Formats: sequence, structure tokens, C-alpha cells
Amino acid sequence: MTEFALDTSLGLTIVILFGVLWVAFGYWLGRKNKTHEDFALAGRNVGFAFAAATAMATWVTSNTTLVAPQLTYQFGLWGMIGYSFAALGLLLFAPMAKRIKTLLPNGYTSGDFVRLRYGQAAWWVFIIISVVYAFGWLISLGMAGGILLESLSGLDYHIGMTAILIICVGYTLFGGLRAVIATDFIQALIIIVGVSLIAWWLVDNVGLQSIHSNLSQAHPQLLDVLFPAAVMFLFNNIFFGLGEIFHSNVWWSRALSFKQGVAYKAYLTGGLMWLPIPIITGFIALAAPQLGIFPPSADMIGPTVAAAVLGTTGAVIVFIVIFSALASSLDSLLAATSDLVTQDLFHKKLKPNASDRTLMRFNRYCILALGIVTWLFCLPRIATLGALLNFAGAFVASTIWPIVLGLYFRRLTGGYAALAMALGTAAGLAAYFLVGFYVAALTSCAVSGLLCGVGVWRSQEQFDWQRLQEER
Amino acid sequence: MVKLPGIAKSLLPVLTFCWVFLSAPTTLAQSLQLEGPSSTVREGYFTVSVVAQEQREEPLTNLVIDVSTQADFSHVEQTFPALGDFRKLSLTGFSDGVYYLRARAGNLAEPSNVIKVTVQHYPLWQALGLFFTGLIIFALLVVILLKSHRRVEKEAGND
Repeated sequence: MTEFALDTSLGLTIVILFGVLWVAFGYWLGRKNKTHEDFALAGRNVGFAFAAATAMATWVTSNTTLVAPQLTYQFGLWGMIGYSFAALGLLLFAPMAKRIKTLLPNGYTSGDFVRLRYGQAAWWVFIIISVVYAFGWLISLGMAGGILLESLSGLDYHIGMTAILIICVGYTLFGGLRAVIATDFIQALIIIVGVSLIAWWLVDNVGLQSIHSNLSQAHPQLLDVLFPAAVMFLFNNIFFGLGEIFHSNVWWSRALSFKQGVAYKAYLTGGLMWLPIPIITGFIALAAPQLGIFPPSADMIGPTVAAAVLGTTGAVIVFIVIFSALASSLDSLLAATSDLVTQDLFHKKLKPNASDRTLMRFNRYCILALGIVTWLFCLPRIATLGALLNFAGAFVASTIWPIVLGLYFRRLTGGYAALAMALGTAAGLAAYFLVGFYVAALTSCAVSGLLCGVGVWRSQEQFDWQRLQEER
Repeated sequence: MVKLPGIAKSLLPVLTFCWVFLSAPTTLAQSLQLEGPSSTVREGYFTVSVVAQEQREEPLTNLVIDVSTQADFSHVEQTFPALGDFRKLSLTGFSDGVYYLRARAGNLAEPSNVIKVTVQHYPLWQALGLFFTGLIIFALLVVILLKSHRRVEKEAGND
């Protein structure tokens, strides 16, 4: 029999305890939501501490806790360092967040911006990209929950995945963005303290020197700074991270929900707090060969190694940290995607005269429906987490240039923006299937950037920023 | 000759089959089948899986994968243990070369079939070409973003 770090019943008990705690907390916070704006944007009144914590905690996700070790295991040092560069997404979004808040003081979603700035054609391309990405991320998070519980406690993947989805859907349903941000704050504290403890424990028990010696002898490729696939992966990962943050309503809804003057500092602080976390979680994977741990799936490496080194107490900490990381992202994505569907599809296209109460009710149905659809997609374990996430990279990286240029330049037109996103995505997908996942986002961003450049060069249009001030 | 009752007569072949089947040593009834990547590996990592072609369920113990650069395994370079009772292993960090792999289990006398895995990393010029392409695009993006931010801040200040 496989020896798991945690007893199955202990793993399940922790999940149930956390579940009850978070759902009750969400319910308590949800009582303050009187309007749809309260529910979707926490009343546009989030202060600096909560803002920085939610930026950091949301970005610490299955990427950082499970995929960073996976890519370190596969790509060595570059996997670990390259992953930490995803902090650049948060850091560079800081000035953009300030601009978003200035241009769209009454805006709700990133879709609002694309529709008003570029028109219907670009909006449709953008919505398709957003939906593909949102589901890719939601599914990867649901899968990560199942993998986490299976790796640490042997609990069946389907049970773990279902439990985590029920909990996150539960408290987001009751509390809206207010609950998401409040739980993110607590989860951020848990993540920082937990990750620091794990790092200290690992260095103390295994030692840097012994890990380096083993890798030098048995797996020198992992220490090679000229590892070809890893060198290719580096900028791909940066563009993937930028694309994720720049386009996603998760980050836009936060920028819009923060108090005036908070967004810039909050994203900058969140990015700096996030930077060392993938280095630590990735480092865990480098100890695997020395410990004789070769998991069936590379995305199980992080929790498996941590649990092997740290024993039961450590495994409980790993479990709580990763659970917090998953929950903090899953809830944010559920809230942001349901806002996008409610505002951009339901309110703008189907029911322009919908009352505040109707919007709030529809938003809740959306959260529930998203949870159910995600659960159905998670049932068959379709791919490794890394492969699944990087597939989405081909889509999101195509939005980087249209978003940046759209926020600061009047000349890029909707036609070019739509073409840049569509052809960028197509080129990224071609690269994904013909070369590998580690070039998809880079190709997508390059093609999209080229088309946007042509668009700015050829266009004579001067967009009027006042057109973004839409009446509600 | 002992005369058996009718029911016993009809059950005899079934019982005999069960006795032969159940008492047969596992080592005779089982054999291991190793499966790995079918094409050249370009990233230095791959997954192998072991299938026990067995007549009945018997957990494999101490499953390991031997790796050698010689087809006859005259020198085994590395041995990778499977995690718990998983029959799949994700292996990583391989340099360019041809590797031969086989599986062994503690409760089986015979190792598995041998599979050949060819690792050939992407050429460095291709990797560095993409690296510098990425670097140029990224630098351009950062410069445009920061300069634009400064411009709109200045405009807002003038207003």
C-alpha cells in the first residue's frame, strides 16, 4: 500500500472544518451586500491592506503551489526562476489599474472596456478568449484540489475535487466579492507564514548542498542554464502571466473595487510579496530525485516531496497552505467570471432594464452554474495542470497589446484589435501543437503585437476617452 | 475407482481449474509490460507506465525502473523507484542520448520488456532565438507602458 503523509480521514476532516468556516464567514459577510454593486464590487470601497492581500493571494494559485514545482521538476532552475517572473504581471498591472480606475470610474468588467473602446467584433473575440481562459483556470483549480488531497491523504481525486468546489462556490455564493477579498486576506497570511515555515524546514532537513550534489551527478540537465526547452519557456511564461492579468476580469474587478488611489500601490505590493513564493515552492521539487521520489504525474511533485520531508505535521501545513491558495483563486475566478456573464451578456445583451435585485440573483445563479460546469469538466482528469494552463496561454497572450494600447493610445481601432486577438490566438495554438506549450504565449503575443503595431501605424482615428463613461 | 456423485462430477473440472489457477506461483502467471514515449523526447522529461499482464490481481511490490545506455543492461546507470503502489513514473533531467529502460518488481522474477527512449533537446540556436525575440518584445512592452503611464500622469497633472 502507498504510505500517505496524512490519514485519509484527517485530510477529509481538515477540508470539512475549513469548508464550514469559510462558508459561515461568507454568509456573515454577505449580510452587508444590499445592492448588486456591493455584491460584485464590494461597494468600490476596498482599502490598501485588503487590496494588496487579495492581489497577492489570488495570484498564489495552483500555478504557484503545484505547477511551479512541476515545471521546476521538468525544467530545473529555469522552471523555478521563470515562474517567479510571473510577478511582473502584477507589477506592470499597477500603473494600468490606476488608469482603469480613472477611465472607467463606473465600469464593472474588462468586457465593458473592450466593448466601449473597440466595439462588438473585438468584444466577441475577447469574450471567447475570456471564457476559454476562465474555464481553463477553473478546471485546473478544481483538478488541483483533487490532486492535492490524493497526493497527501490518498483521498479519491473525485471526492477532493468535489469538496473544494462545493466550499468555494458556497462562500462566494453567499458573500460575493466582499467575502472573496476578506477570505483572501486571511488566506494570504496563511500562505506567507506556511511557505516560510516549509522553506525553513526543508533547508534544515535536507540541505542545499546535498540537493545540489545529487542533481549535479544524476540530473545535470536540471541545473543547466542553457537547457533549451527551459530557455524557450522563460519569456513564454512571462507573456502568459501578463496576458492572464491584463485581460482577466479577476484583476479588473479588483482595480474597480479598490478605493481611489489604492490600486497602484496595492498591485505593486502584491507583486513584490508574490515574487519569492514560486522560488520556494519550486525549490521543493529539486529535492525529489535525492529523496527517490518519482511521482506518477509531475504535478503531484510539490505536495508529495513536502509531505515526505516534513512528516505529518508538515503535511498538515502544506495541505492548509495549498488549500488556501486554491480557494483564494477559485473564489476570485468564480466571482469575476459570473460578473462578466451577468454584466456583459445578461445585462447588456439580454435584459438592459433588469433591476438591481434581478442582477444580483442572476449573478448568484451564474456562480452556481459555473461551479457545476467546472465540476463536470474536472471529472475526467484530462491533462496535467501545466499542460492545461499553458494551452490557455495561447489565448490570453494575444490580448496584451490590445489592452495596453487601448488604455493609453487613441489610434488603435476595433478592427485591428479584433484581428490581433484572433490571429494571435491562432498562431499561439499552432505553436502549441507544432512545437510545445512553452512557445504558445510568446508566439501569440508576437503576432498580436505585430498586428497592433500595423494598426496604430495605419490608423488616423482619435478615440474619445469620454465614450468610456457609460451611463448605467 | 471411486464413484463421485453427479454434482461433484460436474464441479470437478471447475474445481480443478480453480486449484491450478489459484495455486500457481504468481511469478509464472504475471509478466510486466513497460510503456514509454513513442517519439523522440525534446524536453528531457517523459512518463513511463507499467502494466502487469496478470491472471489475477496481485499488487506489485518494490516496482523500479532501470535505466541504461546499453541494450543488454550490462551497466545500469540509474534506478528509479515508483511512488507507493503507483505504476506510472514521471522521469526528468535527461541529457541528449539513447536510453534503454526496463521495469522490475520485487515479487516477480522476470523484468519487463525493454523500451528505447531517444532524448534529443532542441538546438540551442532555436532556444536562444526565441529567448531574444521574447526579450525584445518584453522590453518594448515595458518601455511603452511606463512611458505612456508617465505621459498620462503628466497630462492629468496639467489638467
